Amino acid sequence: MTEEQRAMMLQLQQYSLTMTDLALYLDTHPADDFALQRFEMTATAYHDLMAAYAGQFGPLIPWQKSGEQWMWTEQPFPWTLD
Amino acid sequence: MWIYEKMLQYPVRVSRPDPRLATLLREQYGGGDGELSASLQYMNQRYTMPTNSTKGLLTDIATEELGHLEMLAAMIFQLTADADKEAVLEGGMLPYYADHGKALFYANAAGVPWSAHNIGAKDDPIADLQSDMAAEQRARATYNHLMDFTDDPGVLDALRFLREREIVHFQRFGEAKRTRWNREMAADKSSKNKQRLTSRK
Repeated sequence: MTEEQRAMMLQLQQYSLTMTDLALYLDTHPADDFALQRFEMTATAYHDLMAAYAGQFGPLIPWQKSGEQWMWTEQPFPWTLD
Repeated sequence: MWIYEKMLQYPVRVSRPDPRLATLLREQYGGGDGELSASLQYMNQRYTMPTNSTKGLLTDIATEELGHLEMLAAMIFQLTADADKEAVLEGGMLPYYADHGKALFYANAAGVPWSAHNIGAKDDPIADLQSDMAAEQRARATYNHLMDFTDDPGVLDALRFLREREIVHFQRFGEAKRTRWNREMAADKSSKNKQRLTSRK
């Protein structure tokens, strides 16, 4: 994994954690419009970056578009030290 | 249904092989108060919850706990993958190794296999949510115990993160239990109820 790919992955992890945390908060605070706005903003950024990452390095969800080659098994799995 | 995302919730990178530490971490992998127990307990309880708020929260936390389970698995795998025979022997991992080798398995630090006796479901939202809050605190305390015997900076970093998530879950379960407050909040989106909460921040 190159530095560029690692940095992009880290950014995705940050978006993903932000969404997870805000989702739990919104489950018990559904009327908090500020939190909802933050969730929407993060979700947009996350989906855009997921698509960009998939285009460059291969999908992170097995049914993202793969292109002409089956890419799911091309990239390392996340528990390896590669 | 569930979708797999090919990334860890938080990066995990151990510094060196350490079968002794891997054995300790199994307490939160396949132990009574571990991530597997938490996920499976919440997953069962959501069906008999009275509100969409509690159904949603239990679904979302149960799902996050599976991500934590994967983080623990990643740490345990990395701590054992490159360990040689001597390290396995000195690290006290030999009894586990006899059965499982370096495979992941749902057992606690003492090698006892995971059991559904570890978890509960009562068809009673107060009993269930109260038990979930206690489960989060027990997991937090276990992470404290594990951190007492960890000097690997990569592992410490991940354990700190996981301990913090237990506290967040505890908080959310507590809020979910305050049913009357939640009903009022949902019923009146722009009322003074909300203003009162906003001004309190």
